[in-house]
Formats: sequence, C-alpha cells, structure tokens
Amino acid sequence: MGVDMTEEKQLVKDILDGNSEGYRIFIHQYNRLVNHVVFKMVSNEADREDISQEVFVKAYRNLPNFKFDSKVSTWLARIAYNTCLNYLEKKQIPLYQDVVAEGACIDENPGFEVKPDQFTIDRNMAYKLCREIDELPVNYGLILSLYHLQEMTYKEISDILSMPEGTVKSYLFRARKLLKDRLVRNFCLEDLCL
Amino acid sequence: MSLSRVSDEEIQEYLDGNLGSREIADLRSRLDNCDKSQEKLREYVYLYKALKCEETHNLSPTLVEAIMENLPPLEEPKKKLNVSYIFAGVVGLITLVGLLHYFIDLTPFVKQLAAFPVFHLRLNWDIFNPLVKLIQKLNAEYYLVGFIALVLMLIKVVDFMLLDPEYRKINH
Repeated sequence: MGVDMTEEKQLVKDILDGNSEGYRIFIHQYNRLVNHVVFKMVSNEADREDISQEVFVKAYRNLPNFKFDSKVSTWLARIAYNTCLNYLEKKQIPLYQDVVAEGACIDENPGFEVKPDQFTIDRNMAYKLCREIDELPVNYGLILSLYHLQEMTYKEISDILSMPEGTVKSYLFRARKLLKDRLVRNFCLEDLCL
Repeated sequence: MSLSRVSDEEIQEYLDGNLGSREIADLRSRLDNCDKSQEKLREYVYLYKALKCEETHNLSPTLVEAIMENLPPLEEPKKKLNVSYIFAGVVGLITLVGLLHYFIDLTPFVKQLAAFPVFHLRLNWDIFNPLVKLIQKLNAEYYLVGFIALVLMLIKVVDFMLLDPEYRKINH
C-alpha cells in the first residue's frame, strides 16, 4: 500500500541483480498485505505461517517473470490468493457458503446514538471486528480487507480474485451490509468503543 | 426528487465517493427528511471507520529469517514471443532491404565479393550454387558486408525485444 511504482521497480531490480537482502525489505513492505489475504482465508493458525512463507518463496522464485503489468501488490496478492485457494481445496473447505441475511430488524436496535466523529476504536474493538469478519464467507472478508485496509480499487481486487469488477462490487456491498447488521445485532456502542 | 428511505446501497455508494453532486444533493435531502435513513448512515459511517482499524498481523521475525534462509534460486525468465514484435521486426527488415536496394548501388560490392577466393572455387554441392548465383546476381561488393551487418544488428534488436525480460529495461 502506498509504495511508489519506481521504488517497486528499483527494489525488484536490486533483488534480481542478486541482492537477496533486498528481499528482506520486500517482505517487510508486503507482509501486511500477504497476511491480510492469508489470515482472511485460512483459519487454522498453525497453517497460516506456512502459507505466508510459501507465498514469499513462490514470489521470489517467480520474480524474474514479473513484467510490471500490474502493481507488485496486486501480483503478490494474487499469488497469496491462489496459494490459499490450493490450501482450501486440499482441505476441502468451501470458499463460499450460504449466508442467511440475519439481523433483519436492525431498525429496532437502540445502540447507535453517538455521532460518528466522536468515537475512537481500540484494540478490543479491532479484535471483535475481526471475529465478526471471520464469520463472513471467506471471499467477503478478503474483499473487505483489500478494499478498506489495503485501499485497493475494484479493478485491482478483480484482478486478484479473477472475477468481474461488478461481482467484486456486489460482494463488497453485501459483505458490508452483513457485517453492519451483525455488529448492530451483537454489540451496543459502549461495548465497541472507548 | 424522491423522498423515499435511502437504501443500503446508496449509502455505501455515497461513502465510497461514487456519487455525483446531483445524487449527493438528492441523497442529503432524503436523509434530512428520514430519521431511519440518518440512523442507517451513522451505522455505516461507524462501520467504515471500524474497518480502517481492523486488527493487522505481521510475520514473526523468526519466520522472516526462515524465508530468507530458504530462498530458492531465481527462475530463468520465461521467454515469450510477442506477435506485434515479430510483425514489427519483419516490417523493419523489409523496409531496410527496400531502402538499401533503393539508395545503394550494390554493383561494386558484389564485384568485390565475386573476386573473393571462395567464389572462384568450383563447388560441387548443389546447395551452394543458388547462393553463389544469388550473390553474383545481387552484384554487390563492399556494401553487402554492411548490409549483412545491418541485418544481423536488426536481428539482435528483434531478439532483444522478443526474448529479453522487461526488468532489464528498468532505468536507474
């Protein structure tokens, strides 16, 4: 996120020129992104580190074939996504599951009485939010992370997930609605904010 | 202007910054007239802020070390043929030959070449005969050498465009 294209090219060139220490910088630069993908798609904690490691090793091996047709982040996220897909396939974990639109009566919830710019969100809230996102279908959580945390565009996300932009947009809308409904149903504002 | 309740989708479009000024004005007027919609907007604003603060995870330093220690050798770049480059190469070659033929008198070139010892040999192999005849027909001497050099250079340029990976073209 926020890495300049020229810097990306220079870093990749350094690594390809044999400066393997450059790859350490590369890992630090992109580990948050890879972890977002891996943590969203793989629930087993023991497997997460192995998969992250596999992603970075694959990326290193294939770096000479990277043509800068896209951002490094998009390319790397695609590797991470495909690696996780293989893992899910092996474990026979479904990528999509039917989600019933729960919390249909959100209008009756009394929780949201605070002006949006008046609250802060603490680590506890972040943890609770993560748990709620984990309850969503795998791809919903991933799209939320890529859009809101990695600040990727619909186009970039559609490239990573190999699906049309319209589908990404529709999943994103559904994911946010589902998540909002869950949060409204399960927490009141005092629980979530300082 | 419709004064119906604002939908979830409209609010999300609004917060994503995908609405035009007219649509925003319409949405605001509807929000002003609907408490439920205002409440829904507050919920979404809250959600958007919360999503920005989602827990993040970093690789442990030991894992980074493990990756660094187990780095495999870099793969050779895959060589891909690009049809447009082939087309450009062929067109370039034809243009070069045409220009040479138009601007340069190849007569002294071939004369010199014909005087070259190898062409005085009586070659029994039939496959060389057409080549010798072609060169003699071209009637070229010095310029032929230059022509061949240019063709070879062009082939190298095409080869570079076709086979060399993009990263070698990165400028410092």
